[in-house]
Amino acid sequence: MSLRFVLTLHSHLPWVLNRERWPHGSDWICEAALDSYLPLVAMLEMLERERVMHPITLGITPILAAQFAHPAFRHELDYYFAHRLETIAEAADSLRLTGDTDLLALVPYWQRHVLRLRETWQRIDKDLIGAFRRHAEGGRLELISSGATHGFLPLLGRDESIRLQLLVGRAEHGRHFGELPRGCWVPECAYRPAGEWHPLPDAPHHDGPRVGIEDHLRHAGFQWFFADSHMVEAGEAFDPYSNLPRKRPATAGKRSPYRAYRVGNARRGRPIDVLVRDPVSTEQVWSRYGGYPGDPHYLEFHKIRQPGGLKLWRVTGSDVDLGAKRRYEPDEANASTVRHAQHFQELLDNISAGAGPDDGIIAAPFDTELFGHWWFEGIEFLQHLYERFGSGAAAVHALPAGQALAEAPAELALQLKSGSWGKDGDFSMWLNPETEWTWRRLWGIEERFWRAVPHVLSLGDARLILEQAARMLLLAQSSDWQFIISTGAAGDYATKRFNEHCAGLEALLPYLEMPSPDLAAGAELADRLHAVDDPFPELFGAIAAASDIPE
Amino acid sequence: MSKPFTLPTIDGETPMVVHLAAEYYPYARTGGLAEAAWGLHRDQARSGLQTMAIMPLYRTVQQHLRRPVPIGDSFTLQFGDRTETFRLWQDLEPASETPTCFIAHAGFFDRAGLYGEGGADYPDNYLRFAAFAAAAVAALPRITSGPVLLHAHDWHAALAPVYLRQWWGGDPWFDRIPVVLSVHNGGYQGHFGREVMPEIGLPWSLWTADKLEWYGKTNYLKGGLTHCDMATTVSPTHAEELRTPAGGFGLQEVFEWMGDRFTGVLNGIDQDVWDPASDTQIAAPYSAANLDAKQASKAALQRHFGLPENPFIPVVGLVGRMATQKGLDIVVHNTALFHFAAQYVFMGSGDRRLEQGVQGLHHAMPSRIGVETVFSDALEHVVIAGSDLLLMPSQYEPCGLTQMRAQRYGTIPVARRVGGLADTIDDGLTGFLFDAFDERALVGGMWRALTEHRSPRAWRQMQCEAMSREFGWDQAAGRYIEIYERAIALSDGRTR
Repeated sequence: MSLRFVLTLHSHLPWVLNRERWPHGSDWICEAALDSYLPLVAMLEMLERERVMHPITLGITPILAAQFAHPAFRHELDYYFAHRLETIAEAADSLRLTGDTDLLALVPYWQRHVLRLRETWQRIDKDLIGAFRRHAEGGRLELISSGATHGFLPLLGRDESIRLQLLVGRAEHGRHFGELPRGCWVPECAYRPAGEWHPLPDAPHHDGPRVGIEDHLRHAGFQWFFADSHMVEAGEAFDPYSNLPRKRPATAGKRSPYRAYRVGNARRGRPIDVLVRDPVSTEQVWSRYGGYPGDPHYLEFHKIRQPGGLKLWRVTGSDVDLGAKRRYEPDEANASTVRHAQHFQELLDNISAGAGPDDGIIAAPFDTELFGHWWFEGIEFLQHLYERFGSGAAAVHALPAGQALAEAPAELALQLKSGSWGKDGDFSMWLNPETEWTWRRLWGIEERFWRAVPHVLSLGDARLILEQAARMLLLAQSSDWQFIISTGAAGDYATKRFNEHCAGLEALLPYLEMPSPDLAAGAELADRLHAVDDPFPELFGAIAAASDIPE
Repeated sequence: MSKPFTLPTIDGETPMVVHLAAEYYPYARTGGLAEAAWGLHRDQARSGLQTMAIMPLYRTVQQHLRRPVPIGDSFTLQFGDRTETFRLWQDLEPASETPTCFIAHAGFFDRAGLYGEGGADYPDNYLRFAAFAAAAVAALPRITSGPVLLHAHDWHAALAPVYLRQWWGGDPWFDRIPVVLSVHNGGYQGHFGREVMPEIGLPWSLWTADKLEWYGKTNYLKGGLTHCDMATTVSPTHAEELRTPAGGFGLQEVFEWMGDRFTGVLNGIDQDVWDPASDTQIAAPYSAANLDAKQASKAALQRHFGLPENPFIPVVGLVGRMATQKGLDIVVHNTALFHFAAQYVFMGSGDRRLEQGVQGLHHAMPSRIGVETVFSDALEHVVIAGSDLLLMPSQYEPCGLTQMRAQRYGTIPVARRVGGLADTIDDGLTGFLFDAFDERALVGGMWRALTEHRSPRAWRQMQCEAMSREFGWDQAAGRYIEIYERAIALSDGRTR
């Protein structure tokens, strides 16, 4: 029996609307929309027209969905399209002026490319939610959710916070897409089992052990999630963002990554299963060294022509410096995607051929933004891959995750190990000397918020203040802030954003904590904050559900 | 068809299982006890056990009797300086699956109520139920000459093992009777003043902390627990709760002292009566295979309660006694709960204050809230079939039956994680459980349920899962056989 192949794309960006545009701000989501989300929609449409099934498991974080649905996003993307076309139009003159006439042929290429994407944007009525929803309703996509703002769950100080992330995450997904998701992209694949919790010596004290992340997933109604292979002892830790080549090839662990496992052994309630990232097939795509995106014919991400912001060169070679990059040749790049799709399909078939009798699933999760944004030709690669699946060339069966789990259910229960899919497979990308201060500040406001909740929930009048406070808490919890600080790029922006959300919450907290608060003043402040930070329209019920922690 | 059961023999013969209960279906019923005792009895009888039930001959019982005949002559028992005369009756027609005898005593039981009238208990309940327990034991040889296993239910029958050992101790036939006591609701223990001891004919030597004495009072349930061989309550979780200071109603030390002689066994429901595919009391039958037909029941429910007929708005039902124990207090004043776009239907009677509370809600929101303060079996079927959700925010719930019935009807329970609710509802799979007993937790539980309800596929999946759950008596009856075996073994050891 051939294995099932589950391709999962995880789409996420932090809340960037209603704030700055450039260099950090709403341009991030516009860029991702142009590079990845709209090309993905166009590819789905094309495969649908060609009657090629394309079972993709698509994760869209609730905070990204909230931005897709926001009027400000439509406005920003319209503006971004106009600006891009304007700068492309100016690029020709600029190239002539500098004598780079050999690059001129690429200007109409980019013009056509952006115009086609704008047509897609207009064809879907500027509604990415609706577009993905339509494909999901047609059975061509399985949509999954995540924590509301992609909070790094194992490091949140209160169980109520973890629950709120997941409850809001699942409910918001249902509100946008019409059906509740079964699967969860646990942010950064970050998991910790039940046990004592001491991430830092001065972290908040908990009497006794805390429950494992799987209990919170179960409470929120999720049925399965993804983990990295080292967390099930099925391979080594993985670092998708590393710029360094792996020192040695991925090695096998004591368990197979090609099957789902049941996490924990809860006596009652819905079981929780985990799909394991396949170290072999994912590395083939992720790795800049030996992975497909490093092919010499693909578009060079880092070399950008200013003015105009156009990418006009190809990778050329991994050891070629930016000055020596050669002109991009779209046809050659396309030929590489065809070749790579065939190679990838054969790789999957080889894995399947060598699989054990109890193996059932090859799970390959990626950031959506890898395809199109980081790896410009990635979407074309996916298209060719699905065309190969559709033509019957492959032995493996591409399926959405839920269906693959139904066909190859988890039979073995295990205790998942603490870890993430980040650097060194642990939490260090998010908790390190550069970011410790963020956690201390966050833990403090978490404590204050959740201590106030039982009292405030009985005061109907404070509802709007409470909901805005919860919004600020969720936004402060985005794992992006620590990640960006740790990478060093745009660290100032992440620091500023984190501090702003914390400060907003800190300003609201007194109105929730005082015995006789001035509710009118609190509501006015909440309104002011809401004018900028307004995702997740209804939070009251989720706050109530999250705060009901068993003694 | 129930699985055949066999019991170990006593003196070479299989014992007759005799249930003693103050309420027994269909003759007298105020809560779950009548149906639970009857349901277990019926399953045991169908499984081939020799069985009998004994209950008081209340006035309300008489309307059910077709051809009552006495068994033997009247008999007298001495309670202190009172001599009371009893007679044992049975009904010959119709032949019942669950043979039942009745203890007649006009002064004690031929009254308008079972336990009281006009909201007040009868002042002589201590004597009425002591007398019932003693008379039932005295009547046993009239029912069978073979061995007996006595299964007493709740405090009203709890003195049976006390009388058995105290009055008939030393008689080899009575000494061989194993006794099992089931606690259906530990909150009701039958505690009275110390002065009742001589009046109920029990010696002061039993009024000690390890027998009937309890905080200066005489506690019938405690007497039963300290004199029986085995004790049960109606769910495993409630058995654990009863062992704790928070959930033991002051008897936690006794439950703890009993060790593994005290255990929890879930009650069952009558799955023939509670089957939406054959229920004639609902608008249209339905099953998991044609759940769309449940819509007719929802429309009928909305019409019955004068609510706008709307297939999309979720209807939340709340059925049963309007009592503090049932959590009405965290419903009635819960403004956040009524912010949800849902219709609410309340059906049941009880505490006047709570009845007025729900009536007040109806007057404030007549298009959202329907109220019926008279409980009826027929309307319970209508509410359970027509609701989308069933709310059970109980302070405590030893077992609970409504949540099992609701699941069989694809009506998703939202309940507190206590007692039998915790044991019969799979959180997130067949219903929703919340933990704290407060308005906030209830709102949280309801929000989770309403979120699920907005997702048609997820909701349908949950309904089908709930409807597939088995809540019949088979499993409970099997567990009781194990408990009876243990009681017989303990009794064997005692008399050897």
